[in-house]
Amino acid sequence: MSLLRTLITILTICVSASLFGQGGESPRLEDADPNAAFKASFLFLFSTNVDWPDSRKSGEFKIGIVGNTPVFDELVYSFASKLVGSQVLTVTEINSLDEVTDFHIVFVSRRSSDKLKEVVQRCAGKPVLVVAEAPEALATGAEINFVIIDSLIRYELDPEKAANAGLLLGSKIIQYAVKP
Amino acid sequence: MKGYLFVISLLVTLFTNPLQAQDIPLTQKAAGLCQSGDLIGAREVIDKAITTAEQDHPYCWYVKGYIHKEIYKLIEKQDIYSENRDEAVSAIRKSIELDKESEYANFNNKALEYLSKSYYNDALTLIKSFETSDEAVIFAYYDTFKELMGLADPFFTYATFDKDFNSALAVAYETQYYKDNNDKTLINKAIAYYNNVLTIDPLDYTANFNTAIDYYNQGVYKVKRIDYNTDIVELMMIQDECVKLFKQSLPYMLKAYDQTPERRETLIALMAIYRALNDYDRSEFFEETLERLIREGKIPPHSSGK
Repeated sequence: MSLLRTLITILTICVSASLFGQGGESPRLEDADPNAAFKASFLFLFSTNVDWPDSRKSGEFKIGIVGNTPVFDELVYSFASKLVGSQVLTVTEINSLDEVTDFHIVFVSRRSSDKLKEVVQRCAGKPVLVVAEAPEALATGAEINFVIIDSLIRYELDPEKAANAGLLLGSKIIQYAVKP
Repeated sequence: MKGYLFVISLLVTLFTNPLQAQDIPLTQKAAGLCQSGDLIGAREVIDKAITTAEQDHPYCWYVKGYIHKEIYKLIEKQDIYSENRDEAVSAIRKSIELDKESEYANFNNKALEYLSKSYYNDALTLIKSFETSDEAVIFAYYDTFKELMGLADPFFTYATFDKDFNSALAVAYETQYYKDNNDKTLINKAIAYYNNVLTIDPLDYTANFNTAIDYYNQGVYKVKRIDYNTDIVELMMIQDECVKLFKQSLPYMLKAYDQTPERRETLIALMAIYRALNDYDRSEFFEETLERLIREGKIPPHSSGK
């Protein structure tokens, strides 16, 4: 949990009682991380809008997270145990990069971007969708990369690289991607 | 006690002017009854007085106003819906109208000032037990306060009262909104009232801080409505709306920060707003600022809850 989130939580607990119920002056800051929520939602949409090879259409649908990021909490809170097709979605923090090929989607967080190259190398030719949030991530080999455009989270993608990994990106995902 | 002193001083004034005393016996009697504490008896007598030639005397109407005011104050215990208060106002107005020489101006103005402030207090009382349907009554009381105070003191300045009034309304609407954050009109009204406060005092910390939080939280509520049924088009639209709200929030919080750069809540809010706008550098700047201020002992490690 980030420092900001911890602080907001502490603040919420300490001051909420004194605000409305007792005629206080200020509303409390809602405890949430909007960007983490948006990224988690995009990751879920990627999971449901990609045609995965048959070999990956059974068992759990696994999303792995590299690095400490609030996106993990948001994914667990909002989407864990939901169905992707007939597969139950699980979310895991990846502790060892040896495991990356076990997942359908691997999200490499901003603060762990230095690990992107190794993740890409390990996943090369395997049906794993590597999603990043780093400059030049597509050039490094990720299939999808989150970018910021006028404060908005959008994504760029490389459908050919995805196809080489045996992943067919859905038309909606392609339609709303920004040009790299 | 203070009120009776007014009557006594008026009676003294009256008795030093024999012509007036002789001309208004019923008024004089009503004033005496009032002085003795028989307010109901005084009211009966003064109501008779205004059906006679005494009705042409400003003192007669002043006494009537004063008696009704005292009934409102002492018997009705300042009932918010008192008709005696309305009667008092009408009578004092009549007294002012007849008092061409401004002989009773001081008394009338003091009575009006008291009555005026009672309407202001009632407006605030109604705001505290706020129901949105009360807004028309609240404004009627506030307008009456201003109108009467304007009669009592043409040079009276309302800025502080206007600011507090708008601030109280903003908090009332805000509180309603946070009970059930589905009704956007409530938060829009709160923000509109805070903007009225900021028109009067652009540096009002609470109005700036609360407006910023109100915009930010609206964005967060939209985010919290995202679920697994949200498709990509909806998600992008929600994001557009949220970022717009976060951008609206930012200038208010920056103004709040300018005023109190070492307040924990402001720093945390700026961290959150900049992060929501994907400006991690600035978010981290405020995070580091907060950590530094905590290290330097300028902000306690944990919120005091105030």
